[in-house]
Amino acid sequence: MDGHLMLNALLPDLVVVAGLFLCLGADYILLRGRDVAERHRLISRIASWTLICGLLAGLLGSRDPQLLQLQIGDGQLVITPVRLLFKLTAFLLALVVVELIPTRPATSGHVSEQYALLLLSALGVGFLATSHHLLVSFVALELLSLCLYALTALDMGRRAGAEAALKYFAIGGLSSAFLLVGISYLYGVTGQLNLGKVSAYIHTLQHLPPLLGVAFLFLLVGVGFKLAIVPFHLWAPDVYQNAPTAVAAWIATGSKLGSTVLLLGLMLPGFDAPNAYSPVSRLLSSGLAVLALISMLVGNLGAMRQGNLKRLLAYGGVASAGYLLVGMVAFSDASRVAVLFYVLTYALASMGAFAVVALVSDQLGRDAEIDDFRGCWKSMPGIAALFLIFVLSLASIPPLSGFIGKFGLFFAALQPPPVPEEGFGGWSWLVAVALIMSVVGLYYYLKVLRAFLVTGEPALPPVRVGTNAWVVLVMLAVLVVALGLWPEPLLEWLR
Amino acid sequence: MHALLTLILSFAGALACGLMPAGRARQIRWVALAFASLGLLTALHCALRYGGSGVADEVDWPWIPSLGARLAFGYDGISLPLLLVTGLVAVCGVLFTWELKERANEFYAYYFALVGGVYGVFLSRDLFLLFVFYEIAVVPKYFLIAIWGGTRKDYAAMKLVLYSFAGSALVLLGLLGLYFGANASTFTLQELSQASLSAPLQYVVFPLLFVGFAVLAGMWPFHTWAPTGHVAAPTAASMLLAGVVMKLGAYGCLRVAIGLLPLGAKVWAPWVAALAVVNIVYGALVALRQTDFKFVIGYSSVSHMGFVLLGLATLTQTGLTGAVLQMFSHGVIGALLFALVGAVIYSRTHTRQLEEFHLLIARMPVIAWVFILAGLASMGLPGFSGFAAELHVLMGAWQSPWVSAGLVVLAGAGVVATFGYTLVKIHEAFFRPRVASGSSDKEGLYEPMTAAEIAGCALLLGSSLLVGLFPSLLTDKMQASLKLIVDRLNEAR
Amino acid sequence: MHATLFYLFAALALMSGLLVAFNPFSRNPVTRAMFLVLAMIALSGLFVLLHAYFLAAIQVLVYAGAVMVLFLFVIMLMDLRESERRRVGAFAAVLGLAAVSGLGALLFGALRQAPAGTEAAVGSTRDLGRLLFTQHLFPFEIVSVLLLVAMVGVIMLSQREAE
Repeated sequence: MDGHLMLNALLPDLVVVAGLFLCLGADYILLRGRDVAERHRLISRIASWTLICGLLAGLLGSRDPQLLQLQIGDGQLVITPVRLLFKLTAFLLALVVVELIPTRPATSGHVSEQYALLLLSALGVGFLATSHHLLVSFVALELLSLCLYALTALDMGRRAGAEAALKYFAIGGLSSAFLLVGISYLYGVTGQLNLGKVSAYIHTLQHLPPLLGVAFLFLLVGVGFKLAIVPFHLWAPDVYQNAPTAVAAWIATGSKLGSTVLLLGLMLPGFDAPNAYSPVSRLLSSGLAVLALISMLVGNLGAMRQGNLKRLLAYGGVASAGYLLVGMVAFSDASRVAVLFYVLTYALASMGAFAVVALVSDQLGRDAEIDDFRGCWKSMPGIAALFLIFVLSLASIPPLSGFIGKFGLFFAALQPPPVPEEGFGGWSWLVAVALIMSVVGLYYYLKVLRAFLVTGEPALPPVRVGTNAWVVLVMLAVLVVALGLWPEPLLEWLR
Repeated sequence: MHALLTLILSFAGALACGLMPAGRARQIRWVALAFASLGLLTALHCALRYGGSGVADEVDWPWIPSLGARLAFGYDGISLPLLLVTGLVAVCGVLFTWELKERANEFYAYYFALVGGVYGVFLSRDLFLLFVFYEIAVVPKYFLIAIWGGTRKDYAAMKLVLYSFAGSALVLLGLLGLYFGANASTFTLQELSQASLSAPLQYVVFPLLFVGFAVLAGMWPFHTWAPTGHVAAPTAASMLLAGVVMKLGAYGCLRVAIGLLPLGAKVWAPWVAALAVVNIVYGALVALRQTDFKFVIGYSSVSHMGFVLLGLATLTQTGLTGAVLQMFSHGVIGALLFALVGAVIYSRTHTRQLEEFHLLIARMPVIAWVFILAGLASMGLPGFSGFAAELHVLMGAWQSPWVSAGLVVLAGAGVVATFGYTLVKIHEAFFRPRVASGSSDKEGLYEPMTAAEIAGCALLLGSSLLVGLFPSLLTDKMQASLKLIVDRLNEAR
Repeated sequence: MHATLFYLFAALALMSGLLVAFNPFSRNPVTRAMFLVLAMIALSGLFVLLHAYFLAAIQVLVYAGAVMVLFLFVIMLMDLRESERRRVGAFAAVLGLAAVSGLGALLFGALRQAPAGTEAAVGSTRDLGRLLFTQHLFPFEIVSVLLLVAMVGVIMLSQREAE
């Protein structure tokens, strides 16, 4: 393979690796014995500049047409405009997370390790986004997951935190095993590791070997865990609630971006099918439809009963994974674009909502009960207004980007199939359920907004929000609004 | 002035009021009044300029080509009266909440977001865009009621918003069905009205769209959000709700469901007519039984919206004219009644229970007479807009092959019931000595109306009288646009 | 001969793997660790049958040797006693059994119909090395980053309150 080109393509990642060594080195050598808050200040600055440099390197690379259409090592490193966008979005979200990590933790004297693990997991998401190869995807997913397990346990002093991390680790390990077995069967049947070639080989088969069905089942279990699809979602509420909020934000967004790209890759035989009703796409879409249905039901009905904001957002995330699958079942180009668009907009809005929770409740050491946010409009009007934007986008209210995202999913699911006999809107029942569930979704999101914007006296004293945090929050809000008002450039980019 | 200015002014007003410091209630209300009045002036200017046929001020920009959505705006004879009523009610809503001090900046931010959404629906010439504005108008209602509301505000706000949102979910499903059924890859009204839609598709999609929109128009049995919501809402919001938001639903029924699905409309029209008559009679009878003054008005709104729906169900030129006229008329009069009961009378008596009122005619004579005038207008007394509207509706229903004669007779009985409850309630409110003991209604004369209240009442009553005396001011403008729809209905088979 | 050995090793691996998780006779962690060693050795036997001698050797050296020594050290240093019996709810047990047996049946049915694999003649150190450092260089590098994660994570989680 062309080493020079590969180094160029990996420049953002190399920048991040260099930056993370800088973080660790500065902490271990220069800042030995300094005050924790001071270490946080310096190391977080290094981490953010690292990510900014990584972003700039990626943007510079995107100006080089050779680097925008790149395939190295049989799909191990594939760079297309869409993949690059996902990678850079992951870096951007990691940049937001850097600003959210609390600077005065009472529990942990480890500073640089947190930032290093964050940077490493951002690398993992990046590699996932640029991989079209079973082996690389698996290794990248493990890179991401291991970082997340460790970060979840950051707050070792809290029993609940350690318990959630253990749960996450145990179920996550099991799901990785499923994924690996699925990958090995897929490799065993097709003899290929490149996902494109896997898909091409599957389409040459006259009839599907049963082992292939088992392989896809195992793959779905593995990825379903990462995306918190029902019935593999049980870890999500506990982890979101008990992990440090910054980490929960990263799990809800960065990890979701990477896993979605992986899911799209694994489902490629469905997308590539010569006609939409080939046996493999029939198998995949009926499986996905069932998962979509139960995810929407469990996620939305579960979220209704939550009193803790982070748990509620976790269930909301489960529901959103369900919507995402609704868009995917049609296996058309439109659904690919819709899924990518939705997951991007969901990640932005979700990151914003978590960021507000992190800034408000973590600094006060609270567990983010919905009631704690009573009267935010009075004590922190700016924060409350931004939160309104993020949550309304999650509830898919126009003109915010969440609405366009969800509309795109339903739109894709109703696209008439290429074979006319299959009738109008093969998935209209699924869309109908999704719409009913959206009403439920609005109910619980309004309950949250009620605490923030309606009720009287503030429960919490106002929190000082730093300039950097304001900048990232406003940036997220602007993106959420702008992508709703004018989604076309992004849709064009994703196509 | 361009019609889009109404929309831009409203959202600019929301932003401007929202960004002002909360303590400056005085400045905020003047700013709000300025934005609302400019909106009304724009709407008036549009009305004067409108030639009487076709779509005016048409703009059409690409927006999301992959979804077939365009930024297409414009107004015709059907939107015009509704733009006017929106402008009127928006101005009067500000006037009747002149004394608001608590969180005034947020109040007007939500208020103008709602008004902007409403203008947007009436101006959209693209169904996707229309739906976007329709949903924009949902969420501000929640906050307006939940923050500044009264009786059981949490329950009422949540119920109202969930009903609206569930209705819009149906609408969305119907729109998607329409889009894929038409196979034209577009959401614009222009092109969809030329697409050919198969009859079975129309039979399925029509009820989705009609019921989805009619939830907001207060159609029985989906009306229950309306009385509770109106009662809980603060005055300006209940004026908007009754005056304008319910018309969004009726407008959607007419423009989208009937306008685009003529075959579906013909099949379902008898059912719609039956439900509409239930609305009229049921609303009037329930209003008669209410003891809370605001609930009386709330149920009378349900009854009056029944006339709109009946007018729509006739599918004739006369009936549709009546429906649109009734939308305008009820918009103005409903808003006035809510303003009088919720703000003018309540701020003086501090109660809305009819049995606690004590001979109000002697103690607030001017207000009482204004209310009596408004009540007569609501009853449909000749000379007020309600008369012309209901007459058109009943005449249309009589001619219409889709509305059976029995239903028309029942609707006529509904008119009588309206007379009944209006007169009974006027008597109970103003001419009756106190019935209940321990009332908060004190003895003695009440202070007279403030300037803002006088202005608001004059504006609303005046426009009802003007349209009542010269209905052709509005009906002439809408004939050509309605004729397009009626022709489509007649041609379709 | 070949097939007999395969079934022998496979059964051994499965049995000892099961005994690691549910041992009805002993709840001693050291016993369980020993069964894990047995499972590893059986797996390396399977590798030998596939002519992957290098992998077989690595399996014994690294897993059965080094990793297990580490495990035993941890068990002894932390003085782990017999683990307590955990109560499993009836609902969870039924659901778990159903899921496991369903998956097992599915897998069994699918594998029975799968065609026999062809024997590949790779397995020498040279072949493996060549593959690792040419074709799979990129994942190899990612794995090295993964090891860094393990190091940083261990430092963070094990060393409490460094100051």
